[in-house]
Amino acid sequence: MESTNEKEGKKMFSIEHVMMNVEAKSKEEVLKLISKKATELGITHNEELLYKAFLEREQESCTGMQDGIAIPHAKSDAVVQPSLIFVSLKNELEWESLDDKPINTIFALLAPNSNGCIEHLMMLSKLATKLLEDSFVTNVKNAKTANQVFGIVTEVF
Amino acid sequence: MIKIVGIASCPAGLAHTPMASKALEKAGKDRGIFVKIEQQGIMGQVNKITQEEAQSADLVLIVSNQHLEGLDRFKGKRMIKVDIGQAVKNAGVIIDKCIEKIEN
Repeated sequence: MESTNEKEGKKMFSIEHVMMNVEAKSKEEVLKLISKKATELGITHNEELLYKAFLEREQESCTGMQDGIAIPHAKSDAVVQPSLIFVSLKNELEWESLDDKPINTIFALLAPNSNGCIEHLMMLSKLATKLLEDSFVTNVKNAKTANQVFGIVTEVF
Repeated sequence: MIKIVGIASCPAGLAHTPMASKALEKAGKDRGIFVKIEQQGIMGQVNKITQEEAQSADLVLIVSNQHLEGLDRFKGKRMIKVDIGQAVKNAGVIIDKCIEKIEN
């Protein structure tokens, strides 16, 4: 039997949330693609508002972490339920980061403004702290398929 | 044992806050000292610092440029403010500097 966490995790992150070999010319283009994806997945009903929420957070401080990983996030009324969208880029992008390295791996975190689904928010926070572990980062970066990414990430929950 | 407590908070309170807290606590553990960082994020106050913990600490770390709740707990304590991104990236360096300050 699946644990509650596994079930809840699937709502928040499924294989459809994984975007591999994406080509983009800028951070803004990536955030637009993520907003579009979120609309397709029913995570938001307002693509434009979600995109704006991402941009606003980018202006606050850098979301580029280390080793080519970025965690753009949006906390907005436009988000229906907390979700994670993963993007692996074909190319590297300039993206303000802690170690000044370009970005090619993106974990986009989406959360509603109302602090409803605590369990989902906890999962997103847990995922963020996982990025501090070298082995997790290496595994994610070495993943070649959406299936592999899905497997590695869902293990966290 | 050296005891450092603090509060981390970031604009969305979703990712940087738990990351910085965990990184600092791990750096403390690696060095054999007590480090506890309260997260003031999307889930409210997580890993809350008690009045007693606050008052018995050698140093208080403020890992934020946000408005923080309950700063009165740390009244009279020595405080250091650090950037949350730096805490994620260089938690070890920050804890080393704190230890240096406490010991000197």
